[in-house]
Amino acid sequence: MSLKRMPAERGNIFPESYRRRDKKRFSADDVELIGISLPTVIWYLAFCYVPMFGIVFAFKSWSRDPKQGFLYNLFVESEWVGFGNFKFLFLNPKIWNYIGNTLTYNIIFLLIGITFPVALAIAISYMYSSKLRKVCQTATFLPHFLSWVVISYFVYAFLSTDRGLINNMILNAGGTPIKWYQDTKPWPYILIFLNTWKTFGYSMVVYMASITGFDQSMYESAVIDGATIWQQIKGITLPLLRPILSIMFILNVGNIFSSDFGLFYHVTRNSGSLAQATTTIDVYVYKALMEDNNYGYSSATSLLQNTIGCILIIITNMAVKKIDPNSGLF
Amino acid sequence: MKKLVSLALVLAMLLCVGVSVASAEEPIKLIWWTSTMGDAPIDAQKVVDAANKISAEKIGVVVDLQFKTSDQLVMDFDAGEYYDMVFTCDWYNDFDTNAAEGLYYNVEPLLKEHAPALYDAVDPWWKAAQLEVTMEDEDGEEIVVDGIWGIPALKDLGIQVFFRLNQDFYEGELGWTIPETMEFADLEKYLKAWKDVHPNEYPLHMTKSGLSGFWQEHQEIVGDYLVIPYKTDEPTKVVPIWENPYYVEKVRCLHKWYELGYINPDAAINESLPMELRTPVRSGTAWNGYKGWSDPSVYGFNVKLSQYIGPYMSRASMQGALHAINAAATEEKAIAALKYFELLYTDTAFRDLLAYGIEGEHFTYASNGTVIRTALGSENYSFDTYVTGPVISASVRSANETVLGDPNQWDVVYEQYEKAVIAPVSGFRYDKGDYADLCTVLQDIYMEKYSELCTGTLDPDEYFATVSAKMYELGLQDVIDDVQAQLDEYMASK
Repeated sequence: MSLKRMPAERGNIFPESYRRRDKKRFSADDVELIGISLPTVIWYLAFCYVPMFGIVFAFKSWSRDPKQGFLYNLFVESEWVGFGNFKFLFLNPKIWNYIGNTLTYNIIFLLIGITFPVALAIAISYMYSSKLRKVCQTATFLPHFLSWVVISYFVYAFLSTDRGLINNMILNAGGTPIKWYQDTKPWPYILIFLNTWKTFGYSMVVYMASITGFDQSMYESAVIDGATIWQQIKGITLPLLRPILSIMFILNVGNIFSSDFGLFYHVTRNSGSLAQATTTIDVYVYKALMEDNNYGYSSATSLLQNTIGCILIIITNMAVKKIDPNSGLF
Repeated sequence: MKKLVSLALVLAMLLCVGVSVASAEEPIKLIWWTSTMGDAPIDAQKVVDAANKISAEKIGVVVDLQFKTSDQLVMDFDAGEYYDMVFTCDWYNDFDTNAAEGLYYNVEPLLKEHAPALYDAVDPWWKAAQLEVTMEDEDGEEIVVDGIWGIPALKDLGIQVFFRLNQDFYEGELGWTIPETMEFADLEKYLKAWKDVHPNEYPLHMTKSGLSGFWQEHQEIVGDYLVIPYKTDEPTKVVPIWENPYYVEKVRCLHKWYELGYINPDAAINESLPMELRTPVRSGTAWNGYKGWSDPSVYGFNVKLSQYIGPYMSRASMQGALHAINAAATEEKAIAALKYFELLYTDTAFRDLLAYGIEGEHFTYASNGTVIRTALGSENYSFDTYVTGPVISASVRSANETVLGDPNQWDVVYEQYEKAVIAPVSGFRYDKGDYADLCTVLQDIYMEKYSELCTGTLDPDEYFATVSAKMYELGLQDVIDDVQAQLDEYMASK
């Protein structure tokens, strides 16, 4: 379909003949569309829906009969235990500390993850030099490709007690070295800084793509009317960004009970001294179940996290739609 | 035409006979899962191919040897992947737990008939693999089977933990004599001597796991926190770990040494201790006469061992290495596995092949018949020998032509074991039952700062006071009472 033949109005992008067709008839166009979507549909079915039967683990006490296959063992051999597997999570009084950590970090990440990349995307879009713009974009995007394990070694090079760069600087200045991996106080700031540094470049690209697509004539009109840059941002850029901001916000709220395992486990080098300030639900479950390999407990925790995430997405979507009916995700 | 048809028929018949003969002589193939800490050795397949040629000819059995990490093994087990033999022990793919679940084959009825030489070679240590397992018979009735559920790969069976000291420095430069045994606290003067000469180095450099084997003053009964000390007047009483004075004394020493700067300050988060780090004191579990740590080209100096723990014996220590057969395997495969182990126990050349690789390529024989690994062997085919079979039937390893091992070292070591006292609770396994989730939580609480504890980073007295208060509040006493009740019942039944 050429662009010339596409109707300009939103919602009428399909030709009249297509819209009026008898839905029961299967046309050549349908074959094409099904062909295009098939790999994605199969991918989703195979990797997202079929494995969902694993939820059963959350309500089973896993046991094995060596003469039987995995499915038989899961559905027949393993006993139902109801909500027994969920009990484990709340037996440990420290769980509230871990839930608190997960929520606090995620809320901060959520706020910074929206304001910081948007501000930077807008700033970069006002750069006159396209070369400098590209350099900035690439520089901010690069950390996205580093794994947390690699970053953890960089961080250690800075924070090592006896060989770290920072402690060497402190020593040279006549101070006392700090045992970074035993002191909880600086770690919330370190983790927030690192997460922002690693992720904002990627988020920024999403907002940059939107900003680049805005109708430039609106900005020209605003300039002719004497609008300052701040007024242009406030009056044009931010309102136009609202739909994408809402979608990003709703999607991120869904992950508020989960955490980036690499950040909280590897970067802190799993230091027990930092546990109180840096252990999140995922890290706790990993550490607590590392020895037992208890699938029931870990599945129960994941199910709980995802159920809460799903409910939060629905609530946030409803709230967003209440404020602005056009900005919801669904 | 008739001739052609006849010829074709004759050829076809010959072919069929050929195929049937070939299939009759086809060796039995065993899928064998074994342990590795990381990747499989690079030359593993090459060595296994060479071994298969010999075993196919001698006993009609070949193996598909697969190296798996602990995580991979658990996943493959649970996914229902098929195997015939698997490496199992006290610390990897837990033998007692899996055998009690009925995952392994009872080899006891087959042993004397099909592998008598194997039976004799392992005797009297079959008890390491002996267990009473509750099973269902053909009518669905519960029965208790007292069987042998694995083949012990005999190696050192007792617990002896040694300091590995820089002999060149302490004996060569300082003129001291490193004793055969010492107390843990005695190490302080060695640490101080090194620190005095090398003020910017840490003589007791360690990883977050602490000194290898230093905790083995007790049998762990539940997790890492409920134990029975080896040295105690009440050898069947379960106590929290902080009530074992020998362990507590060690962690107190470590904390003192940490404060004195003998231990690296980031030990609690340190993941590795490479050989290139010429730390003058290391620790390890071994046996008298062990030369595996004595090669100066690897360690940078001559090493002398000094024992500071043991010798102790328990069921756990006897279960250092076993190979079990899948309960789902056929009798034919079970017999093949027994015959394969019989060959490993009785044919030293075959055993050396799987243990050290190909002669001339991966190792050479020293003048006294012991084995010296080549550089290629150390690089491409090096792992803990017991993962491919018994250690006592392989040739003893020497560090090099000047640091030779005693070819008869196992006779000496096993003579000691015959007189050794085995901890009385050997064979007891705690059934957590309704306390399973509480035990997991208690373990998490105890382990939260374990790395800091075992590296001396924190004050152990403060730590034990804090965690014990938390653990008792959550119900530790209930777990202790339950374990003790089960243990008393077990001891009464014995």
